[in-house]
Amino acid sequence: MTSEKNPRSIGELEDRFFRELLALKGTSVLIVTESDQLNLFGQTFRPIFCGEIIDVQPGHLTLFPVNIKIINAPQFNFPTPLSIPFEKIAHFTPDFDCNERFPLT
Amino acid sequence: MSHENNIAGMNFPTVNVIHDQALVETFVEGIGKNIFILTPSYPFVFIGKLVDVIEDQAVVDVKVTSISELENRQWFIHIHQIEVYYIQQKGMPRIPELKTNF
Amino acid sequence: MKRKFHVVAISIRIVLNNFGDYNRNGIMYVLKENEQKVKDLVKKNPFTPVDLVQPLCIRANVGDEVEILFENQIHYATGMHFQEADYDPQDSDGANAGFNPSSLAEPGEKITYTLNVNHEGVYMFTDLGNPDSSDQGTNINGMFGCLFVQPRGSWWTDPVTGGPINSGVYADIHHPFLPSYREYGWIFHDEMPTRDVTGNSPLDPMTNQERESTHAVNYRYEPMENRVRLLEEGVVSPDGHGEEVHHDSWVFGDPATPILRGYRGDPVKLRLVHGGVKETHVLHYHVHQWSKDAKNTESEILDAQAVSPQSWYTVQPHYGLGSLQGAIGDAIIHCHLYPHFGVGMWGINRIFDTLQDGTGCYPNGEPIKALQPLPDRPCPPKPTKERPGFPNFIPGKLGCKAPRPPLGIVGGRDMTELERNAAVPNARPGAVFVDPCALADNPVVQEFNVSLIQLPIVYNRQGWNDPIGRIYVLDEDIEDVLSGRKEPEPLVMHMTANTCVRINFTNRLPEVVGGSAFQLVTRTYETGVHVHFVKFDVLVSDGANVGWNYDSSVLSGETIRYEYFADVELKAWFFHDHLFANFHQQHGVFGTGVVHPRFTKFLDSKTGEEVDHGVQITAIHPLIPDYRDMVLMVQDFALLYDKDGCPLQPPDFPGSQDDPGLFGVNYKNEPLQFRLGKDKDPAYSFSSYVNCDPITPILHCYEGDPIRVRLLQGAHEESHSFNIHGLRWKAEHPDSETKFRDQQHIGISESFTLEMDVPRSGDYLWTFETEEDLWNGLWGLIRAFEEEVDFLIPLSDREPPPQRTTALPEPTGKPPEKAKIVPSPGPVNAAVKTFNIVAFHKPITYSKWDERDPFGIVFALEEDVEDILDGKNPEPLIIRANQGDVVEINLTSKLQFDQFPFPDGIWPYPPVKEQAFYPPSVRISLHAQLLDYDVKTSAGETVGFNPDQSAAPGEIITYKWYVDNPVGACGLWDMTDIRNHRSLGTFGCFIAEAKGTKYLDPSTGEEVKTGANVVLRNPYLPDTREFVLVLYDGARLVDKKGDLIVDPVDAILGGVDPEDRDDLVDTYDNGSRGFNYRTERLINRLREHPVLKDLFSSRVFGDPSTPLFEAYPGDPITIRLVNPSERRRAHTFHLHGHYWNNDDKDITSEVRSVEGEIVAGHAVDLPLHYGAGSLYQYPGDYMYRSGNIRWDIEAGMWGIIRVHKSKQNHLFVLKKKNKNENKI
Repeated sequence: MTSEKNPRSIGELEDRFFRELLALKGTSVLIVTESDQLNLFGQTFRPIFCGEIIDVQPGHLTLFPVNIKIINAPQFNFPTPLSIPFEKIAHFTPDFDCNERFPLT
Repeated sequence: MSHENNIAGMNFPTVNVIHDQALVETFVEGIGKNIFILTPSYPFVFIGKLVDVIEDQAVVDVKVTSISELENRQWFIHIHQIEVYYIQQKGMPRIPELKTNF
Repeated sequence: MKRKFHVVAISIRIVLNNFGDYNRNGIMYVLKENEQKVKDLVKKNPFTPVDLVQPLCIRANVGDEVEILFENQIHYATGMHFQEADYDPQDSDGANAGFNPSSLAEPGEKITYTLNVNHEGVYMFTDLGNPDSSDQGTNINGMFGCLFVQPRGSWWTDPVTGGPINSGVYADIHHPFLPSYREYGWIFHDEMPTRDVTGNSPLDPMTNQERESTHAVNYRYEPMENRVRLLEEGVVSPDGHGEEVHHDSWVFGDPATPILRGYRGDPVKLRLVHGGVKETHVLHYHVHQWSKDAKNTESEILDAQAVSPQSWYTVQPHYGLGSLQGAIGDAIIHCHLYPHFGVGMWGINRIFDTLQDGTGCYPNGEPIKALQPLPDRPCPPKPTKERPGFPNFIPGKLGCKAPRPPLGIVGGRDMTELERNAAVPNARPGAVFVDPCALADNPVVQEFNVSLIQLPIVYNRQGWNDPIGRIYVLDEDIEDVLSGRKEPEPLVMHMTANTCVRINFTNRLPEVVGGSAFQLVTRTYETGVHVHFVKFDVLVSDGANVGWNYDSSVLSGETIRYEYFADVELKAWFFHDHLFANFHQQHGVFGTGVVHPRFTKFLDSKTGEEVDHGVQITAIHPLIPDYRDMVLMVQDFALLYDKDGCPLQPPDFPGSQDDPGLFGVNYKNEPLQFRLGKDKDPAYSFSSYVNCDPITPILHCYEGDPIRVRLLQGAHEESHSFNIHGLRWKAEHPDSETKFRDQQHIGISESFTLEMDVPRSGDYLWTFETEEDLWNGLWGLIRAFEEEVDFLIPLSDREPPPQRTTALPEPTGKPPEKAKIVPSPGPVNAAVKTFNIVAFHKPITYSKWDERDPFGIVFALEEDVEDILDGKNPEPLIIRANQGDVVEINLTSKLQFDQFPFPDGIWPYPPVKEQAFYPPSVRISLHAQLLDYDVKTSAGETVGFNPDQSAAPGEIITYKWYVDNPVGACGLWDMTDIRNHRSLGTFGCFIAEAKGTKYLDPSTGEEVKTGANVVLRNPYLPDTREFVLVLYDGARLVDKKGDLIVDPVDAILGGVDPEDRDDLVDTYDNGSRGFNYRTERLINRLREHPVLKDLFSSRVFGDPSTPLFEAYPGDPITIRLVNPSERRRAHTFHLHGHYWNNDDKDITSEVRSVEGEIVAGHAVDLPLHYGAGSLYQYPGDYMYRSGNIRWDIEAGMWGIIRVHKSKQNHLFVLKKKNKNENKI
């Protein structure tokens, strides 16, 4: 993945959230994003993602491997990394074991 | 067109603006690469090559979406409507191809 | 991409199980490449099932073009009609309908069908060359199959070899972006003609009478009757009785029916398909739950799904195989309609925890076929001697009943070493091999001590009773219930989400039950609690005896612990006995638990004391609105006696499953025959003034209270139709983006939560609306008080009700007065639309074959009455208003007592059970669905302590309805006399349209007030053709000679053996049927021109008598479909070549071309995708029809939508919005 950029904007320097996430790099998080549901070739699912943060940039983070909590296949790992814009994150929780089973309804 | 962090007229950009602008920059850096995009809006998925970024719109040569009739054309995709995406990187997994002849 | 299949229709002997039961006249579709192979195999194996003899399942992806070369080797013309697909009806309809050229293949010939598949799902194909419902038909003999359409980019492999496959009921489906999943084709079908291995009609060894009709899955069934014979002859399990070991593989080995195999956690799509002809079955899948609509993550959670003929669902179990708790073992899948289950409509989902590479064996030495792990899932561990994996760690003995589970039974055994190796670390009673309660950190633990007891139950005030009622009861209530201090009622336990539920279940039943008019002597020596919805260890807490699992039931006097985890808020979970259900479920062996939101408290609605059980409670919550909660459990096959001990509706012989007995709800009924009152006027049957309150449940609440009705069916075989008059709820309980409903079809084991508020005071009628159910007492009330009563606590988060100023009403024995004022429920400035409606006698001609109802009663607008009396053939009254309108109905009766067919008060046909005197009422009323009105004045029925809402001859009754929402189709019907009126035509349809809509005659363009076929014009919406279909099924018609037509028997194309004539159909199958007071019975056509393949052809017969709807390609079309009348047999509606959203208010909902489970009260709006001719706008004739071969299609329930290529003089062209139109 791309190397971390040198902080170059005032925003970056002041973004504590960004720094918080940088500190979580290499750990596993559970992230829920904004929309009601997503639709991938007809398979619908709530946007609940779990995985290791492999990259953090000022506007997004990237998870890989990333487990999408599809209700009928909750252990499914998406074939590629997925980047999530910060502004689409509804909420997240750090240090989450992606193998944990929990209700998704 | 500018991709600089020049947020005109705002002395104190909010953190949201900073995130949004940084996201646009990521897309600018990805120009020329393959991209996978999921959005809650129809037709939900775009796969293709990121060819340009115009303000906050990603221009994608779309090879695959959920609807075949909407493929093989350029789509202007509002970057800030994208829920999750992947810009293909060296050393990381390729975006799979949909098999059409199995 | 383009996919090609060469499909052949062949005659084949279908062997249905290992006992050699077979259908010698089977017909199936098969790929050409397998044709010779399957024929050879069947020749070599005439008495055993052949794997390749299975319904043809082929696959394609969304976006594909599929070319089918169909070759017909049957000796008459047949075809393949595909649902869901886009195709040109001129060449690919697989039918010979209307003016289309025939797209059937003649014997020995081939035809090519070209299909485009544009949405995921099941594209069922069936033959329409021969629509005969008799044993000589095609569908009944196996002529159905499926094209399963997968997400774009999918491919599939053989689950055993991992290699490619071209067809097969099972496949593993893969996708570059999506999880791989197991696809299981599960095709129910019924009524297949069957012989036993000796070539005779199969007998039931218990009754020595003929076995139930065949109810099968994928051309297989595993009847109890065959297995019992091995018990009786002492071959196996000599101590067994029958039903309790029916599913036990330790005794019998695996069944011939489908065993769906997978590893723990594997994602699954079970394609539930009904390829049969008649019954609406209910699939129940142990251990697993799924979203009702696979495309809507917020839809209702189900674990049972009703499915009508020629319809389908995709079942995607949440969390994959074994569900959230990761259970392993055998999860039985079955039709929950118990007689069907008993006769063999079941199979097993086998969840392995170790790798199966083809070298392993089952305990009986049968090899376990290899099973490829899904490529994106971790490979399961190989079996070892210490950890052999399921089922080989279970200490069973071949030929004997499955062992009891370790730990669970009080005083029972510990684990063996192998069991200990397989167990979870903290194995405990009821949770040995998985730990469902470990899902939460520290869940609330709630323990219930439950017993199953026997006692007499009295169902009504007339003393109808079940002397051997059997009910679940909490141990602390046993004494009170047995002594009569507490009324017996179904056990309803209450808990909150995130609760670990422990049930200590004691079997307190007598071991043996004596014989009766209904049943034979039966040794029901063991029982249990089988639970739905919650999470549990299927091996030890299933309360059943399935496959290679344990037998998790207990003997008389024993106690067993079951443990369940209620992970999230759920609707009511059904529970029942799984060991002798076919014997005693109909005696009351069912109950439910309700999982409320976390932190809910449950109060006795009268005293306010905290409770943990009861059918009616008040639920209070710190954050969400408090609510009243009521459980209704409906039952059929209730084996009742009258007060003198005479059996009511006994079967022809004891032990028969041919619809014995009557009906109940929560062990009560209130038959209308006892509610005539002094005046003998049926119009007041529901009035509490005339008859006092019904003995059936009355939900008490205050005006404005939120309520939740938990609707379940506890027994035993039939469809029921639940309706609440004057209220409505969102179709998907968890999702607000869904349509409103006020009716719900239900089959046994289904559970629905209906959530709503009660806006005004008054008595609201709830009913199971079909004629026979309602007649026999399945109705009650929801009573909303406007002032305080001392037997109902107020909800804590609402203003207390005002103190009582007037005394509560009392029965007077006399009909109530009419209301003095009919208040408008709408805003004061709402537009008022007035309809003056008259109900009058008028013979109706139902078809061009001169089939008539000489005694018809119709509703018509006052201004149209004269035309109709002068000879215009009536149609059902169809009226419309727009959102925001107040509708004022002024209704009058012109009925005359002597104009009724049966003024003596005995209505013989169509029949109902428990015929009794009920003379015709000359009063009339009009009830409307889904609209907003005050039930005290405008419900169109005289109910409870509400004022009179019916009109006598010469009187006018006024109703005011507010159209607060564009809810679309609403059924209209009379409620004064369901026996003497409804079959004669007292129904219609109201349509709540969008604001600002005008309704135009499709021919003249003039505005109209009524009619089934209009163009909707709205400045903001496209011009839309609206086609209204009023589906009816209980009509009483005579033929041109004036002789009574006894449908469906008289309509059967292949004829009926005179011996079978009298008991071929159930009461509720009777009656003529069709759409909009019209029918097109195929028998008339066959008599004129005896060629099966031509029966739907307009070139041969002209157009059918049913409504012909016309459009131009691409015209927007909305179909409004209502079923106001009146039988209990559920129907499927299918329109050729078109599809729509499952929920018209949710654009993301599943796309389908069928609507199933249609039964009285059903109302649905079907906006067709892409308009007339669908996506490609093909002109031509498109059949709309029932999916029931038995007995709808041939009995006339079909018609045509015609899409014209060129302009017709009688059909104006819809207006295109002009860009200059709104310029100023």
